[in-house]
Amino acid sequence: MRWIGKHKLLVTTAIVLIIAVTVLLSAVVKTEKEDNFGSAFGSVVNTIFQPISKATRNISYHISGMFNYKSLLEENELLKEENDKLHKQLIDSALNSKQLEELLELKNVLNYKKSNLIGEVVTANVVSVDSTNWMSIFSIDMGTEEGIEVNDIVMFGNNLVGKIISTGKGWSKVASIIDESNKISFLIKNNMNLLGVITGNDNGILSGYMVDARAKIQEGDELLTSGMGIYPKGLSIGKVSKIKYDSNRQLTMLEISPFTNFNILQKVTVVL
Amino acid sequence: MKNDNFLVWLKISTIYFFILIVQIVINSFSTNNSLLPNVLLCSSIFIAMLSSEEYKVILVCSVVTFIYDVLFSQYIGITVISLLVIIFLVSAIKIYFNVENIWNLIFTGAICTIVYNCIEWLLNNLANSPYDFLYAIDTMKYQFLANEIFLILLFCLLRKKIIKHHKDRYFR
Repeated sequence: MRWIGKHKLLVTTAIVLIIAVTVLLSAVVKTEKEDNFGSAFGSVVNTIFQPISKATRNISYHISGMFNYKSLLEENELLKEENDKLHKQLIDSALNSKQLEELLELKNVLNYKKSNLIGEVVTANVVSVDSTNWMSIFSIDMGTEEGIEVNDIVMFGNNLVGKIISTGKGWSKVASIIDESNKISFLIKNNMNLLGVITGNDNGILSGYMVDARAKIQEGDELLTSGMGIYPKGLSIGKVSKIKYDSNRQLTMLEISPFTNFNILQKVTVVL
Repeated sequence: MKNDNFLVWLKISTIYFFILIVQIVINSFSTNNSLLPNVLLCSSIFIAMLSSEEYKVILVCSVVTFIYDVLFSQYIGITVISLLVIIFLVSAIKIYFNVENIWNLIFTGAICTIVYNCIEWLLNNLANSPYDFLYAIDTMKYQFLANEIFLILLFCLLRKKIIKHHKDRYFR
């Protein structure tokens, strides 16, 4: 007892270290499972601190808006052009609505159910970014109350952002695709027969390989999710920025720049 | 005596909760953490340097960083362990260094920033994070400078508290 009194620093460090390592190990092991205690504790902590994050985020958003006035005007013009194009497309597709009705009728008759379709979505605000300098994990202000679950897909427009890694009432944490160690299979947009796999991340850029080493691809080709695994088919991932043939592994290796800039996200869509 | 002890606990807790709020504001304000100082790390270095009861600092810091991990980290416990090592390191360094000298603080700040990022990378990597060590260290360079500037600012602001005997010839 006297020894403990004399070595308070050492004893405290040892106790805290043991507790922290245990918590960390259980968090790593439980990562794919539902953690009720963590979720409830996260909800309490987020209820207290999220208003601060939200207020700061709003101020930051308005300040950056003032400084980026010119680029916002340019963006506005581009959006107007895109809007016009979409209006035209809408008129064209309205003409085909009769055909669509026929197809839907046919689908019902054949009792055809397609998997991996995008279901209901909710839009959430990005509240804060992660604690490390290099990772792209962020928190959003919606959680289980909206039906969000672990492994739900997060998008920005039609671009794939990542997936939910933990959630609770009023909060969720999102890991971007560049933070994931999971492999994501993809298709080349120009030639949907070409399949590849994203295997990792080198310096913030995704890296992967083509299943067929002789596949004809070029820099700038767009990649879409293939529908294998948790991600639905057809979501934009990024574009090929570098191609290299690895003679040792006899594979065509790729460097992929994601379409989403994870540093400027304000709002995201969660697919339930 | 018991009242004094309670006041010390209260003082450390209040300071750390204020630091936590500042860090939350920083994390929410900026979209790129690497350009801004790590207030939790810098303050922990500073408090550990000045405090004579490091075990109290460790306990309060652990609770605060646990909350921080719940809010921001992928895995709870990584920041707790990283800062724990830093406070322990500072406690060891201050046995040999004069804490009233700003150069010693700058040196300690540099060492601690590197060690903190290395531990954080190592733990994240063990938890299956895909990032390369050199990339992680490369993102640290701006924060390294930001941390040093923040530590110097803290030193200048709290100079009177740090240097107990201003009129000593050493500081002239």
